Amino acid sequence: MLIKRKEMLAVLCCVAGCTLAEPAYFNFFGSPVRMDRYLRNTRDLVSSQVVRKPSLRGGQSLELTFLFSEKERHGNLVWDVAPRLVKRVRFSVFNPNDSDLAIKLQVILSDTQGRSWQPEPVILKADDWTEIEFNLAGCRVAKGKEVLDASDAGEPVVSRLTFKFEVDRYFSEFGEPVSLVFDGLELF
Amino acid sequence: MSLNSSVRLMQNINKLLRHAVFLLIAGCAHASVPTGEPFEYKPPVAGGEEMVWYLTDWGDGTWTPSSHGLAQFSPRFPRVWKTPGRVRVQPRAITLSGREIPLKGQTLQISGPASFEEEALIEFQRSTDSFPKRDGYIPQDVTLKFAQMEAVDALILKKDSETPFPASFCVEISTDGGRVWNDIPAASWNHFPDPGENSVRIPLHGVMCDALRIVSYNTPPVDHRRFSLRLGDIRVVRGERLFDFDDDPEMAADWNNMWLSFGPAENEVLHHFDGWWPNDRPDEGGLLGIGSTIWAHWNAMKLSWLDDPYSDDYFEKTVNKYPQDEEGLMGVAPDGFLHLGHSKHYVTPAIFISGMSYWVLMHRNFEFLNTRDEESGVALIEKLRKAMRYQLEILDGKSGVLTIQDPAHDGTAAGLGGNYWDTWRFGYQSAYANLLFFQSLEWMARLEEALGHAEPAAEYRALRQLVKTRYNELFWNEETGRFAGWISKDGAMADSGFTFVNLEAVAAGVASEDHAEQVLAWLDGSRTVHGDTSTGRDIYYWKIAPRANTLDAAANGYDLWDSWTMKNGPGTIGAYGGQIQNGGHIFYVSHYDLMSRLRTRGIGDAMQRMEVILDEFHIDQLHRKPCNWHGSTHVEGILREFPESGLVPLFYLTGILGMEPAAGGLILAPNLPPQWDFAAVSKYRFAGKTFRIRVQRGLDEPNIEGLNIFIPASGTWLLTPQGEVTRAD
Repeated sequence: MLIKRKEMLAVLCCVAGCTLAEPAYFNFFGSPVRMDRYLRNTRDLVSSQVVRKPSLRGGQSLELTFLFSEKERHGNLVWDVAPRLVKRVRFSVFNPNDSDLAIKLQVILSDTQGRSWQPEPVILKADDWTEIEFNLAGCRVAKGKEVLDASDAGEPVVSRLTFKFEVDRYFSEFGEPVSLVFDGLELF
Repeated sequence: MSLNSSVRLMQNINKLLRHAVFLLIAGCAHASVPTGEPFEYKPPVAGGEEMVWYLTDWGDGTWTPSSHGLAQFSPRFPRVWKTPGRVRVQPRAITLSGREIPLKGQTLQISGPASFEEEALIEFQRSTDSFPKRDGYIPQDVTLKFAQMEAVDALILKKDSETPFPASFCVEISTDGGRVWNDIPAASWNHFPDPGENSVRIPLHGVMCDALRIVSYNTPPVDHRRFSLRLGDIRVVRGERLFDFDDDPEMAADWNNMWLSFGPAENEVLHHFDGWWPNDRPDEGGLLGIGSTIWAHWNAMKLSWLDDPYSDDYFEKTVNKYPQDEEGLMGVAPDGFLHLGHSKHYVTPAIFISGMSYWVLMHRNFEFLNTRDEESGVALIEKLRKAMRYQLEILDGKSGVLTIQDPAHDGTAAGLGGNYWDTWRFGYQSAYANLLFFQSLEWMARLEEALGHAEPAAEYRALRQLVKTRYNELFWNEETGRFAGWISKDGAMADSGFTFVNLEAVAAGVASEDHAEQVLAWLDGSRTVHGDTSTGRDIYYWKIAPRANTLDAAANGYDLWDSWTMKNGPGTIGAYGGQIQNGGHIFYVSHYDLMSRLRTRGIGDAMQRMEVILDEFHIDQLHRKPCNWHGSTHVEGILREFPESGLVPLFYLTGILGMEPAAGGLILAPNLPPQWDFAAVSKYRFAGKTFRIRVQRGLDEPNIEGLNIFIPASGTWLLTPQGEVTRAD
């Protein structure tokens, strides 16, 4: 069963590889380049480190460790990129925790015109991978407090991605280390 | 025409002939270019919001890529043509999302004798992963190992005959045979087009390594399910090591590479395609300089000995735009008198004097002093003298203590910051301003002496003695055994354990011998200052430099800390240890740390510190930028707006070779570490000539062979502008 699943994944990847454009940006953590040149951990996200497993692609992924606090209830992974045009975003997050530790992920892309682009937030699957893929055209676009019409906003030149991992007030493990695994990022 | 004018004219002609730089901006229909001369091609800008990198097809089977940057700028591609003929140079820009922008090309008529001199190539052992991978995101590389440590000028790649050229690849180096790899920031590309039969020539600017690899983090497909990195012929062009000495090759390589990163910054990603501020995340790395008055002295120290006509021109144009008020106070930048619209900097006259004197004494272009401010029309020499008068009269420096009478800068809890360390309320009688005043007196004395004015030079030097005496009386805190930062108008001594004040004071020679030793004992942790937040080994928590201050700013609330940009205290963005000015560090201070140790305890102590710094550089080339809880990356001040980081590797010249300009020429007072037999610099511009200077143990007398200068390892020597060497001690 496992072999069949792997083969199916390989075929799917191959098909995807044949039809998708080359990513405008990717990072699967293989580079020796220090992560702190690109990534910042803030608030309740207290550390990140490159690990070999679990990993879907690239042979490596980024383990994120949170110490959620009642005061903040969120931690951010801030990903700085040299400005580039982005139409679509794809990445995966593995949540090894039980379903009673619900963690919500809100992605926010910032562009060079000071606009923010937000897809719908996602509740990460428990004890599983969540693949997240969205088109910028379907995002909520705002500049300051003003909400813009996405169809008029054109294609953004993105300079920063913020991944906000959030828990609710009933979260049962405040102050305890909680891990998530980020599998790498592709911008198309 | 005066003698100076004649000399200046000849220097200009020589400069033009020497460089013979033919900078072409596309748009000219044809251009004639001589063989054998340095040549630069600058493509038209691509334009647009997205960042781009440029690729020049030279029309002779060679491509050269640039690193990426803002599309409103374009790089300068240097080249020396060897054979005459007609070529069509065709540039293009590639956006970071992979869109190609064709740009207008240029036809070149290259004329002159052909050169058959071959480039020196480095031999290597080549290895690569034999098996394709099923995952394109698994990194693959082609590794080249050299027989010894080498300086590499360029890497030339050809496409493999059967496998696609990688669209994504970068170049990484190792200085320890392949145990630790570091990337070359500027040598990284996505969406690289198929070069076909062309050679891809990647400039590496003399980076030193004993192993080099081409890595792809997104390898090309070799069939419908496998991915592999394959390359054709590879050549590695040998360069010349700039700092050459007979210690551990790994140490020599790291030292050279540290200078390359934080000195000329040629292998960094530069958003304007030159080494001058600004640059931004996530490409922040080393820079050459910042055009502000605050950096004038550091810029001069870094740039004045380099053969970089473009930056010389930029710097000279910039310094002639620094505003000066009627009394003589300087503004902080060409486009603003106040620092970020917030405060005056009363240290600007001192920095301006020291920087300009250093610059002129290095270049010996005294005519430059007669160039006039673009706005005011005042000659540079007059601005310098006015700045000195401002210090002596308005700030009462002639009394031996510079005092800032501006009520907004009175050093009290209501005072504004007034120098580079802009969150601290340095004001009224500032130890930082006074040590810079002390330095400026010597630099102005040297300049006046060089201009034949012995009297003011003697007066400035006499005043220095008084300043030194008063400095050690006024600013020394007996309780803590170190210099305070300032004395407020209320007479309160502000002492938060300012390491940057103390080290620069010791390095400048304004500290007495006893005070200098006490300062180092405090920093080394052999003497504990009770009540400090950081003591013992924790003072060097950041390893490459001491914490900026050893007593948390929060200990004094906002009495000493000007919260105009951030608050301090637990949980704030300025909390101790999470901010460069409060428990963090700025790397340049290590230059003064090294010079302090050299001056006080000798070269052995300085080298122990330098070895710690080099060990850290070896790990990641100090391209580190941690953030604090709030996401602010102002924790360690190494990259981006800190081009003064280049002062640390510059210790090789200022400390070990003991070089600094003086009225009569260039002083060399070498301090070779005991285990070194020689220390050399292969290219050193001074007085319009490029010297090769070598300090050699066992030599009793200097030896001069044209522009090759050999200096004994002991004694103090003077290299004259004419290229002679005389004893100076």
